[in-house]
Amino acid sequence: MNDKNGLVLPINYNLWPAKSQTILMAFVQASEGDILTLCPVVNDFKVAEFFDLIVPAANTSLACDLVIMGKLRAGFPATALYSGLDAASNDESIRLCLAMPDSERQRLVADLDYLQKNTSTVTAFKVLRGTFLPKYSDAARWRRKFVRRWQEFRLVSLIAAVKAQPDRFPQYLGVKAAIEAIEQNLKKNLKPEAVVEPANEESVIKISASAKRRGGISIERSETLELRRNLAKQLKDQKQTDAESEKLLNGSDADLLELAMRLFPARR
Amino acid sequence: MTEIDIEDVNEDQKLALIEEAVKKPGFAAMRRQILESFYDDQALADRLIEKMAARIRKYPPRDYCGEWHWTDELVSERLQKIWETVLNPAMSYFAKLAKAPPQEIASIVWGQIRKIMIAEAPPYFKWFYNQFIQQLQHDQPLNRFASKKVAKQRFRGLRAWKEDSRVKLGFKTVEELVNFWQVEKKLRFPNMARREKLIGEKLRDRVWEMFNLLNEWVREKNLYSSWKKLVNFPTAEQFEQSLDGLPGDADNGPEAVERYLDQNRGNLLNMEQLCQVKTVLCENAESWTGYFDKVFAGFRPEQKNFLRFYYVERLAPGVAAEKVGKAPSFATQTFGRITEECRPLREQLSSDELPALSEFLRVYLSNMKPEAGRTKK
Repeated sequence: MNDKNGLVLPINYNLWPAKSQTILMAFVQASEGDILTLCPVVNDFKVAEFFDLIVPAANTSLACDLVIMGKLRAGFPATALYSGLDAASNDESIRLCLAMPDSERQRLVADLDYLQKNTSTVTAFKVLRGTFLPKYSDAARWRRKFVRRWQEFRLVSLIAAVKAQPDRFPQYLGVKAAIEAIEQNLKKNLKPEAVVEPANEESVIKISASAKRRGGISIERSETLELRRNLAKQLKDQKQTDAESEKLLNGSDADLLELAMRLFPARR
Repeated sequence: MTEIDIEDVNEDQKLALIEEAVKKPGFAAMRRQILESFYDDQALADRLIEKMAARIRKYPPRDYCGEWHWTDELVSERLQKIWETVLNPAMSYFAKLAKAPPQEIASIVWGQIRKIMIAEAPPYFKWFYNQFIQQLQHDQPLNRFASKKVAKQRFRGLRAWKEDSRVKLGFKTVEELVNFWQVEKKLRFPNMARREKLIGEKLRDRVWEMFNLLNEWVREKNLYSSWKKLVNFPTAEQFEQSLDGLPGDADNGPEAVERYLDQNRGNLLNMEQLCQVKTVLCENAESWTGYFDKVFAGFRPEQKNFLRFYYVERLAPGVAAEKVGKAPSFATQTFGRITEECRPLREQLSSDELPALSEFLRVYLSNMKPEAGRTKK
């Protein structure tokens, strides 16, 4: 099993929005280079939505109920996880997280994968999943807030990771200028990050519509347009035409930064 | 796909408006004036707050905050909201407050209380208010009931109707009663009297019951609860019993309706029950899918769309019916039908396992493609 895949680990709270008191962890669904695919994990199963995997306390070595929010999975830099994982192995709870048996890790990855791919009535119930939450319920309201915090966390983590490696990206790419613009927007609290997964046409339309309401900030903002164009060219040059890269290219600012990190891996 | 939350966008817009208002030349003077009014006379502010709190507490808590009682915290939240509005430089109240002499300040703030109470009420109540109270206040047909005038022959006022000795003695024929109801179809009251199984005496009793409820409604005494009974009670009661409860073991009182309508009741199952439901679903998913394929083949597109809105989007029954362009009675009829269809499956399950059925329907309907039919945006 890959180094961290299938583990439920503490996040780097230095990057988590300060105004949020939520306690959460992150489930490592996959890893590629220094990019980890993370899903948030909370332990209140009442907030679980249809695409969330529920793991009862009895079925996990962590001995508490887990809700792995599959719908919010997204690419993060490795620094989004708690930095002192090795050093803190004296901490009993972290030791417990790191000692999760391989079989359990494999099962969690497989179950989450299954849950995301199977939604028909015949297949959907083979794993324990959440339900469709009423839009105006407390749980749904809590989730909406949580989604925003998770998006902010992702963007801040990616910005921090990109800024920490100034030599990783060629100058012509325009990463520096884009980061400055994104940071400025963050400070202005304009929240250009509308969605975590602008994965399809529908979501792109929604972002555009949302952008229009927000006064014309669209995913094609001129500050990041340069970076977007350069990344598109890079994708073409590298002949990477997979759907995942396309999604990232047409996605939010965080998606763009993730794509840049994927296309320009860290030098060893 | 993550939902986009509009709350933040609204917040940004509000801030922008405030920013704009603050830049206007008269703002500083108005602000000074308001501060003087309140700081110079601390007792005025205290008295006002006390009166506002008392007024808030008079609103029925179940309707206006979804709780059994007003807590200090809830009252103070409402107070805060009221202040946020009247002291918002971007709103007209701000200018009014600045210009008003101290004795008029209370009446300005007063006008805002009702608006905030409605704005902060649970969504279902807000929907009810927008749909019905507004109509009651503005529409001619409803005014006729509200004012209880003795109208001319065809449109007799309710009081006149009720005082008609022939009605009291039950001399009116079923047709007459139903026809009276039919005239009022425009009011969008549920046409429950037209349900297939109600004929003769039963039909007349039902219509009579509806008139009684309507009368309570007109009196505005128990406006919301009467309306809920009128529109949703049969729906809620039948459905609660039919899918998630054992036959005959559910209580039928208004509290059952309250619970049913409460969107916040959420998932009431504990982890053990949740696992039990999962087991039932795993065991039955295949056979139930085949069963419901057959059942839904006979449903009209708007019935399926209605059920999708109710189960998947989790809208209240009346709202879901509205979405497919139907009166709330459509909810009653559709629930009645699906209840009948589910009966053979229900009988095989224990009370702990029953929630599996609604959970299954949720997923079944989420997989169903929306069919062309009347859907209101």
